[in-house]
Amino acid sequence: MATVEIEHVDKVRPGGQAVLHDVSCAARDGELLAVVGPSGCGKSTLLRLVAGLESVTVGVIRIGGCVVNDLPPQRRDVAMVFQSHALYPHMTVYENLAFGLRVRGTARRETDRRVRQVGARLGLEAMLERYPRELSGGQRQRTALGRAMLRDAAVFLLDEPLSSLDVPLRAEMRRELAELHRSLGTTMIYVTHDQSEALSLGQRMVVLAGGRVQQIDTPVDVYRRPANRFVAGFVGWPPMNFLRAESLADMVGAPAGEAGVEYGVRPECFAAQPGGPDDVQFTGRIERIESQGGEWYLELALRCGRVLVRLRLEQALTVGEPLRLWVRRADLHTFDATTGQRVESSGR
Amino acid sequence: MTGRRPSGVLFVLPALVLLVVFVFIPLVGVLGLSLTNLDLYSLANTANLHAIGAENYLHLLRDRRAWQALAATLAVVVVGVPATLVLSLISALMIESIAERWRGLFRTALFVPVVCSTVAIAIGWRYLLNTRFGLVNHLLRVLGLGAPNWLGNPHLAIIAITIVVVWKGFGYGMIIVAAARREIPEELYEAARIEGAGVRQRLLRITVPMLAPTLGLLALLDVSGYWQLFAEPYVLTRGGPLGSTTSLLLLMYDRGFLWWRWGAASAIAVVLTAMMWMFAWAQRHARADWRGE
Repeated sequence: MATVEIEHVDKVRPGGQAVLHDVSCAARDGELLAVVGPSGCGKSTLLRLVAGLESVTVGVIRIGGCVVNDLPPQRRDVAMVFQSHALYPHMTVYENLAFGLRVRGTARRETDRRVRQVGARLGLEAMLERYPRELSGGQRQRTALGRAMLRDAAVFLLDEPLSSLDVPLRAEMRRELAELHRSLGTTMIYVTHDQSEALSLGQRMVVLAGGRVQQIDTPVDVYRRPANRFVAGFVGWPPMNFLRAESLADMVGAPAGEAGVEYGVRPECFAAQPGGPDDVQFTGRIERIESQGGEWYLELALRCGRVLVRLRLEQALTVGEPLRLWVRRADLHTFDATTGQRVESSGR
Repeated sequence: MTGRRPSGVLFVLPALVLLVVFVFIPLVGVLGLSLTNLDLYSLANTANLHAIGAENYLHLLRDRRAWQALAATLAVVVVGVPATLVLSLISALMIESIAERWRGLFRTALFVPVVCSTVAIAIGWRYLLNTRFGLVNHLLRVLGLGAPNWLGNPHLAIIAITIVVVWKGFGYGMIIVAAARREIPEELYEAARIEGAGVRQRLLRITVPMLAPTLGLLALLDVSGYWQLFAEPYVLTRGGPLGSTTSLLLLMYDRGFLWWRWGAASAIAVVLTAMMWMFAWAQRHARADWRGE
């Protein structure tokens, strides 16, 4: 068990392309830290830096308190699960699991005992003599996880481990991963481009964009109090609606001077009834309706732009009909229109 | 195969016609000829042409030169094929590990012998191996290792032939192996590094087994190529000295086109073909690998 501390890390590729800028974050002992961001944001690179597969340009990485910048991967006490699983195709599941133990010179009997133990734990007993190509996606995933477990490392690094699976299986493996983390208690860094995966799995999450850390917080806080406009739009699905302040100011009652401000409202934060006296009222016309069983997805044309609304409502709705909705003042996020940074509204 | 369609036959027909005309008919013809005493005399007067049954084959069994040719050919195959594979593998891995800007140069340099005319290469090597003026012996003299008569000594000549054959052949395997090496995902090596595998272990536990199917295919190609050894001894030694470098194919050529004994030469051709088939069959059945073939 160990902490992972990443301090002021820059990564510049040999060609001069800067991938990470001054990235600092830390995974606490036993924590599952989710690193999330759009593709190309440098999240996989960050993981590879921790693994030792690439070298840090500037900055320090510590695992368990020791600086590991110059240590080769095998001496960093980390295990890694790759997006492609990286199973050795010419080896059976058993041999794949035993690989690390064998190269590290573990006794044959001990290897066999541990491989079978982990195999049983992951439900792979019947698959041990099969080759990777004979496995289903989930079984490959489990084999890759089993290999990491047999590494007995202080830190697990997972690089988009679920993205090669189909959707139902992904949900199942997500649960299994969370369960595994609970029972192993190992520090895990989990990289994903899927914000919902990060929200559901991570104990804390790091949002990366353009090689910079945007926010580090618990999933609940990232969702409730996004640090900037990027995080607000990236985390949460469907994405947050953004409205220019000039046209909204009169409705919201914000200080009129605050023209350089943008407001954000999540689609699920609209309500058909006012909840309190200082709720903000929106009036618009229904442009488009999509039913998702008990829920409605509405596109609402406001005076100040269009918004997407997710609403639970018994009554039937028709396109073209006017609709009045309310949003709690606390659910109205304010961002500086030029910097994109969150502005804490005085009303809270 | 389900639902055979007549149109499928049309697609394979051109290849089939070529195969029948240029492979199957000659094969049957050779098989027929090998059961006769066809030679210059029977060509001049067909009254001399007889079916002699297996006489040509029985004669081969008693023929000391045939056994010598078999031994020489086998020697080149048994030593040359592994040597070629090892050289192909090593050169491919080295080429893949050097900087990109130098890679093309080395690849071309090592591949050139493959595309050169065998005769030109053999003539070049005859100069290199010349006892008195050759570069090889000059270097050996500089190193104080004497100056052997490469092509005049029956024991050395077959070694010289093998060296030339391997030198000419390994570049082809190098290109194939290098391409196969590039197909191995880098993540496998990264996973292995994290698990603690060093350079040697990554080579022996990942690279070589992953390349095994490719090496197996190359072995088959090399065996069939070296089994038909002809041009190198023909140009370098004419099969000498004392028949030590006469390959089976060269023996067949000599019997057929030097001494005009086509019946006897056909028997050698049949034996050569049969041995090739046996080997290819064995190779195919030994190749159940992880790709599920």
